[in-house]
Amino acid sequence: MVWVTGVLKMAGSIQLSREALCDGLDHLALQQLRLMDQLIRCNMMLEEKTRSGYFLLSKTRYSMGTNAVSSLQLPSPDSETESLANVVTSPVFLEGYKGDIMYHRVDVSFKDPVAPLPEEEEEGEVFETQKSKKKGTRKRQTADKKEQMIDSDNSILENDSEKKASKKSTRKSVNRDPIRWFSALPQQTLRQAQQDFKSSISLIAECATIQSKLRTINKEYSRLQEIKYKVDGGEKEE
Amino acid sequence: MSVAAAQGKLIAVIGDEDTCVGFLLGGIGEVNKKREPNFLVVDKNTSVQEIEDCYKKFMKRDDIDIILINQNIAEQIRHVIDSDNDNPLPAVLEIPSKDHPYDPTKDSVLRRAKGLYSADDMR
Repeated sequence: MVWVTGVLKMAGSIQLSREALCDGLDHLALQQLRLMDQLIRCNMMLEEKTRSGYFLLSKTRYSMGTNAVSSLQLPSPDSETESLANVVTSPVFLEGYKGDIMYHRVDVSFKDPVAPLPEEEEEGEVFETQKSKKKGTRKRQTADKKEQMIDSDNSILENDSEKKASKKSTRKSVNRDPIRWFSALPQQTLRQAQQDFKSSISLIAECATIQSKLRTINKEYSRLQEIKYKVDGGEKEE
Repeated sequence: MSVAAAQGKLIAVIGDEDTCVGFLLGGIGEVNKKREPNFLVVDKNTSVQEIEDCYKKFMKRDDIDIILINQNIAEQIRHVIDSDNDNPLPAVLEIPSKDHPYDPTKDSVLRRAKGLYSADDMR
């Protein structure tokens, strides 16, 4: 009698776990379909954006010449170039799951193309400008030496603050905008194309996030499926 | 957060001329100190072996998180793309090109998701 109730209990637990597994699988399957739909939509949007970009690139070529916008203008391996669009991936727990199921969320960050020159390069230039300033003051000293002697004490403090301000204002910057590879005075169509491709990059981050989510759910789905097969196998043996 | 993570990682691109020009115009292009670019312009003279080598090189690089590849080019090295299933990063995204619109049936991620279902499971 005890043995019979034990079997019933075992069968009951298998039945319950099988039902839970099936529910979980159904839930994952629905989520998977939703994500597949999202991924396709995102890719379609990406296609639309890039198509508009390609069209604008062609328009630019039409007015600037065929070779004006080509791979010839892209940076060669000899020229060091820094990327202006970077992605930051952060692991995120899947919503609605208590387990440690994680996917990677991808975010894009665009850097400002106008950046100040590195200090090493800058110091030389600043030193030169200070030298030229000294030359100028020497000339003035010969003209009205007395007045300057009186004012000099008062102006020392002012000069320090002015120097700091002028250092900031004279700080040279370099424009690393990739649009400059193609033209010094870029056309409006090229600028629009750049905007299209920039928004494509944002869409790519979205696609990558969805894709990562889909991969995670796929893995979880196959894991549950394997467990279900095992449970089914156990039931058949009994 | 580490410095590398805060700075962000790169997007690499393997594509035809227009795709590479476009995305590099968007600002993803980088040539690092080792003189390694993060892009490959595929033209009619580029061999499949070259594409495959470049793809593998991008997959090994730690500073790349996303690899963009034109779907028609991905078709040429499908066996390599399908074999790299395990690592979530770098993410490989198949994008449409100027001449070849996006085809969801060819996308490796979607095909993999579709492949999970079989007639037996639906019973």
